[in-house]
Amino acid sequence: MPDRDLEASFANYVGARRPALVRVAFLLCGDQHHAEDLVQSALIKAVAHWKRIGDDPEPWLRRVMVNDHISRWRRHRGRERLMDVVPDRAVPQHEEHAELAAALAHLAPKQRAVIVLRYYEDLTEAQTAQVLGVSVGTVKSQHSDALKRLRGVVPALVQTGG
Amino acid sequence: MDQMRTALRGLAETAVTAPADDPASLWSQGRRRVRRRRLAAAGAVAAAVVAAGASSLVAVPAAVVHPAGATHEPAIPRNVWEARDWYPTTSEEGPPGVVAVLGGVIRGDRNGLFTVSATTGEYRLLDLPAAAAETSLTGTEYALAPDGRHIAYWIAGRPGGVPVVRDGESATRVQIGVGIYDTDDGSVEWVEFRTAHGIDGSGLMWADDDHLLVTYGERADSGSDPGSMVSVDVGTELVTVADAARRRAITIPEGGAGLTADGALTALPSRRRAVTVPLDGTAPRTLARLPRMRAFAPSSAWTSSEAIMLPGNRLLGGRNNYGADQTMVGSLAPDGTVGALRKVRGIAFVQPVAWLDDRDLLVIGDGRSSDEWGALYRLDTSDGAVTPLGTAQAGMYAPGLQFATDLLGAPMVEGERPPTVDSRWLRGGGAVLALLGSCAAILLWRRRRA
Repeated sequence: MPDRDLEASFANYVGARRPALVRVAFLLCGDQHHAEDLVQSALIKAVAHWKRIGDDPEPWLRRVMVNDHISRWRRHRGRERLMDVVPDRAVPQHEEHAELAAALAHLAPKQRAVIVLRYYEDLTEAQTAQVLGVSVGTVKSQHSDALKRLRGVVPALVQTGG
Repeated sequence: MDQMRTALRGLAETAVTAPADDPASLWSQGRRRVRRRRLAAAGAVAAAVVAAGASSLVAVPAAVVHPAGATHEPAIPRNVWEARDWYPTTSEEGPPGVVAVLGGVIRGDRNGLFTVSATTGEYRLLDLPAAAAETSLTGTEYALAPDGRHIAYWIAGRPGGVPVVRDGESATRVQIGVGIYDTDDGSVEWVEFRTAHGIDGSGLMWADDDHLLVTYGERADSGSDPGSMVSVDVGTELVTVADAARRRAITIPEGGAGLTADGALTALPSRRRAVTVPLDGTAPRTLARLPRMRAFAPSSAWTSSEAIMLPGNRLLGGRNNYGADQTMVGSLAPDGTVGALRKVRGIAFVQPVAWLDDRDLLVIGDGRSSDEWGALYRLDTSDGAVTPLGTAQAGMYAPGLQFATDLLGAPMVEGERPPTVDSRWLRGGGAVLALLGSCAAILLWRRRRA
């Protein structure tokens, strides 16, 4: 495919799917600006591989966003400090949403990614494992741990046996 | 888990999508990133290649075989080790300086010589110009001067022509004379014997630091003549033919000969007669008649030269005791009679090297254990007792080792073992591994950063 066609394909995809990518990224990180950064960075990286992934770029982009978010979390976790005043950030107005956002914040990035991929993106355990680059067993254990934590914070959302 | 799905979708909808960058801008940023990464990868690979190449290039000339490290007064090393064919050569590093030890080494598919420096202990391979191709490793075809400053060897070329220095003309090469290599400046003094068909060299021996004794036979249409003996004065190219010796077909026995105190050559042309051959050309005279005993016949492990070495009129010989070589020592009385012979105890295959004094002889021999094979011993010729001095583990070529005998008066120095693995290959291999590692790291980095 000529470069011009690749660029047109890329532009079409970005125009159509960027909001959906931002929503996934927002669920992964819980921060509006960080979500925008994740998506933009992933799309820029995708350019180099567009010839190969252009037909179905979503799995590749998901994987890059998850990995970038985990890498960023690892880089910055040692620098987080307790503060008296909560900095300004977008807070969901709806009470249920706010509860869920707070509950997700208690999860480790990989656990959070498992929840988002399994329940928002409706991926199977195998697909989730592929995105995260881990085994299915790891996905299962991360999923179980994540639900246990969420159950303690928002029990209404997490029904036993579900 | 429908509640979870619904809640997540509701939460996702709260994300406000900011105005997007122009897709064309994202595309151009992506293309710039691709170019940057390609440039960085190419630079990293180039740097790795340059580093690996440079390190191997720098390492190659620096093959380390300088075991002694510090320079010391000229001395004989107590330990001599087998040389390797990748050691530095005189073509690469220049002449070796004063040589303490000269020995044979297999260099690929041919035989060669190596030296051990008397002042640094460094091992070096000799690239001798026009050397005859069929150099033996047993010490019969080369000779180290007593002061360690000259090495005599047979040269090859076209009879009546000039020594052939270049390779590739071996078909027309025959022995034509002797080369005397100066270990200080690397020059070679050519002594060519004018013959129609070349010579068959049979013996090289230094009478002293400046006089080389040479015996050879002149090749004829059918075989060789009985032999000629000449004395070569180093530096003046004066060749004196010992006519008397020539007439009587006296030759330097295989492996050399001994010298009497007045400088005359002592040879043993037959198994039972020791003669002196004055170098002034006067007639040889019988020095001693050896006892008629089968036992004293030089066996395959012995040459007649080793049967008699005469400073102090001491006698050393091999006894073939029903196939088992045994070394005997004794002395010659002034009237030429041989006194009682005693066995040399504790070592076998005794190879005489040089006299340490009137009574003691430096020899290479095999002790009882394999660790003591090819070791240096002091042999007391009055009673056959031996004292270990060091090792001469030049492999199977230990019998061919020659020592700068002038240096035997000084205390021996330890000879540290030179490297047995070619450091150039180690470094080259390390450079290749570094290169492969760099490429793997770059590949991994690109995949992780994708």
